[in-house]
Amino acid sequence: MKTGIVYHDYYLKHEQGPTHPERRERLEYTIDQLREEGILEDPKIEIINPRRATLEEILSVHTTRYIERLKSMSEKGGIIDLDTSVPVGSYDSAIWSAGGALTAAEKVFNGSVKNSFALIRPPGHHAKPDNGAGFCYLNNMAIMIKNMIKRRTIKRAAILDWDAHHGDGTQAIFYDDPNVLYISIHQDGRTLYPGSGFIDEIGVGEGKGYNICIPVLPGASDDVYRLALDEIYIPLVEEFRPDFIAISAGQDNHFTDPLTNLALTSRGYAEMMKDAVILSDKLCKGRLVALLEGGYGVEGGLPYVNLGIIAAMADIDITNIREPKIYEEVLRRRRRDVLDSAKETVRGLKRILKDYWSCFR
Amino acid sequence: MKFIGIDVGGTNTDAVKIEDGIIDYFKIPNEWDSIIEALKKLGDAKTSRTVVSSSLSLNLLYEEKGGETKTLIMAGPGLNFSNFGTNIEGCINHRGDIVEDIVVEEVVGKLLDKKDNLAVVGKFSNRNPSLEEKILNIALNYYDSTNIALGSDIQGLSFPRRINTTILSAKVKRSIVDLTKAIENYSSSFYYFKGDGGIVPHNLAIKNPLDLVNSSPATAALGAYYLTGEKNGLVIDIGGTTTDFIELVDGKPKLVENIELCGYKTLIRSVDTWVVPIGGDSYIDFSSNSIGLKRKGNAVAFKGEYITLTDLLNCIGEKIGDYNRSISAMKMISNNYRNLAESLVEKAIDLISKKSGNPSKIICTGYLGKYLAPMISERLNCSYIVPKFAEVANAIGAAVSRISLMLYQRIDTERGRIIWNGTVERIKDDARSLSREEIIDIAKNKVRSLALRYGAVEEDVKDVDLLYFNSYNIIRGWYKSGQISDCIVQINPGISSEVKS
Ligand SMILES: [Zn+2]
Repeated sequence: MKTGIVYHDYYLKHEQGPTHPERRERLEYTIDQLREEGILEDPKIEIINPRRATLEEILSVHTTRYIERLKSMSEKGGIIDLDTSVPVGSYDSAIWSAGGALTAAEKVFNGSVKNSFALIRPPGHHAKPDNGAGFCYLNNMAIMIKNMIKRRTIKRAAILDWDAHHGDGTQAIFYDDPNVLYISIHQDGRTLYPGSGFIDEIGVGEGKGYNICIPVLPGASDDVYRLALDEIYIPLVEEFRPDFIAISAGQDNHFTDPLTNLALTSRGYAEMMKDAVILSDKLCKGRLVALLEGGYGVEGGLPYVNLGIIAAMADIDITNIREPKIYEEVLRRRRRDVLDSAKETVRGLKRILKDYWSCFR
Repeated sequence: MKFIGIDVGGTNTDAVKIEDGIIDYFKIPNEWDSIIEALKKLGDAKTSRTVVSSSLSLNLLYEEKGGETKTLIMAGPGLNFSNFGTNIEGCINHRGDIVEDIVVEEVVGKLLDKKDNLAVVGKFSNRNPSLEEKILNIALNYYDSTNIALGSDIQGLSFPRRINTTILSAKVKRSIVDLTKAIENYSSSFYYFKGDGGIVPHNLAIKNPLDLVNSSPATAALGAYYLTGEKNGLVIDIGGTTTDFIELVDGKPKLVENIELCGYKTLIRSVDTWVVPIGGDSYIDFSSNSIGLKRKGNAVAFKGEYITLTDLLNCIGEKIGDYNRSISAMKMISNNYRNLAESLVEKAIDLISKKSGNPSKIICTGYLGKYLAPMISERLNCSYIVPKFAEVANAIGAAVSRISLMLYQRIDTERGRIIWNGTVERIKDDARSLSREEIIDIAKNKVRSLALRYGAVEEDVKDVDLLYFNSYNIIRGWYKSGQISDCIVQINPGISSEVKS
């Protein structure tokens, strides 16, 4: 079966300002790369047209008050936080983006594609029920999951959020929900926005044990992510047995990203996605959706990262996914050996989580 | 000014001369040098504009006579393309920057395994040809330049399609070069007719010989428009070996991007055409009473040995060639030869009509056009036109066409580069940010000046169409550092204003 790519030129429209880093080239370069690689016309790939999310779908996550405010700001222009302005027309861009996430899931569940990757912007994982933040207006991931559950398409979803920033918005929305397992790997909150996502943030009430934060130190590279997946993500998801696997695919942990300090390579991304695909095959008939979140190393990293992710999803050979050699020096400067501290984090997490998960006992 | 069009078809080479609106023509049977024969017969080429339409390159590919191709690819990082050719070091990225250089010793090593011709193709090489050019310089020690094709001469994104197109280019390049040299002895400057309905100077066609693919149906479309003035309709060109279909829309043949050719997915753009292998020379298979879908030789009416569709038409009242010979031959097959001929012609009409869709009007050209048009139109329940000179509409279409050019322009102001059809030039630093209008103007002016240099007249380059536009700013650390824009413009194919006046 095919892999869907949800994409439309609408996703190029949104621009917070002429120099803001969350900008259209993030997709332009990627689309150029995908065209050149011939992947857009590969028989294993299907391009999917998105739709807008409806108000009802959005209100399953966000408050009426916030949406009213966002709408009115979007008419005249406004500001949410220091990094997140609301230029005219943002609301429309945001509902296209959320609609892209919904379309991605719908196409997987109606059997048109096996899995899908929504190349959407603006991103969503910092958006909370009552406010936007950090370049995000609507929480695309939460809107997708909540609506799939509401429609009884799924009962249990496992989210892996590998964006360099902690997805505080998504965490807040599902913090008390035992049906949504949220696992985030991100740069340590003491060194990066939004400053949260420590190992003791494990959920509340019935949701206790279903929120997992794996902070990693600046300089963390493929080996650290490998460890996090092998030791935490894979065993947890296997025990949780979701009927849907979702990924907040932020590409800002790439070693060329200008806003963060991590050192993942495009091959590392492809390998992570391959693991997620294998898990989805094993647990939920391959049903997997990835949503684009952050990622600002538009030139060196993003085209290869997105290509690698799509190739991994579509079971296309990833052995040649890598960066051009001129970037080797950049990687060497950025990468740090933080595997030992990561092992320490993993041990700490397992201690905290062992009361909730038998795989850690 | 005289306008000369030469069309090498499946059976005949047709030549027309148009002077002050008067059309003169002759046909000679196809031989290897029939173009030369035609040129000799036409005489003083200096005072005329000569356009040649040849299906030579296409036939070479169909007959698989293009030889073995060695394919060197620079796939760089990304997907694995090793099944397309021999992968070597070297990489251009999406920005057109060299991010990995070639290794000379490696290139030399790979070239030792020599084939008939060579294709050299890199990812994104259309945004920076310099690595391919470096390899070309090495390869010239092993191959003649006429046997080497570069990917950077082919526009549009898609590495696999660029590889395929370059391979096919490498296979046919030599034959076009040879043909060009032969013609040059009689006409120092001439044009080739392209598959998109326009014409290019001969030296440009050598660079990208696949532009000539499908030139025959394209000439039929232009010829049909010139002869009838009909802007819309389905052109059915019934020749000696095939029947070609082309849609005319607003006086132009309908075009299609990225055609598939001989099983290869390519980046070639040409008229949107389809074909039925039926023509005047289709032999009749009496063992099954059907139309044989190929040519075995001339019709009996033209001294051939096999009864063909042309002979059948002679048996139901037409008078093509030595029609009595056709009738005598058919009488030997059947006493009721007229009925048999009628039913077989019906079968041919069936096969052609089935492929015609639902046109409201058909324009029939080619040597059987006028005989079959009434029957086809009756079957399709539509009107028909058979223009005067329909039998040489292809050559006429070639003669009257104007220069059409397509220009792919990419401006990267941060890098100070402007790329026109794969050729890189520097731009001034002060061009940091250009407006949409400025970018389009640069492209339009460039394509106009190229066309004029190639011999177009002012009137013909007035209308330049914008086919694609995209531009965005490059931001580094919250500061704008440049702008990238992509723009495709085209001087549309059409009838040259010189012919009209
Ligand atoms: Zn992020």
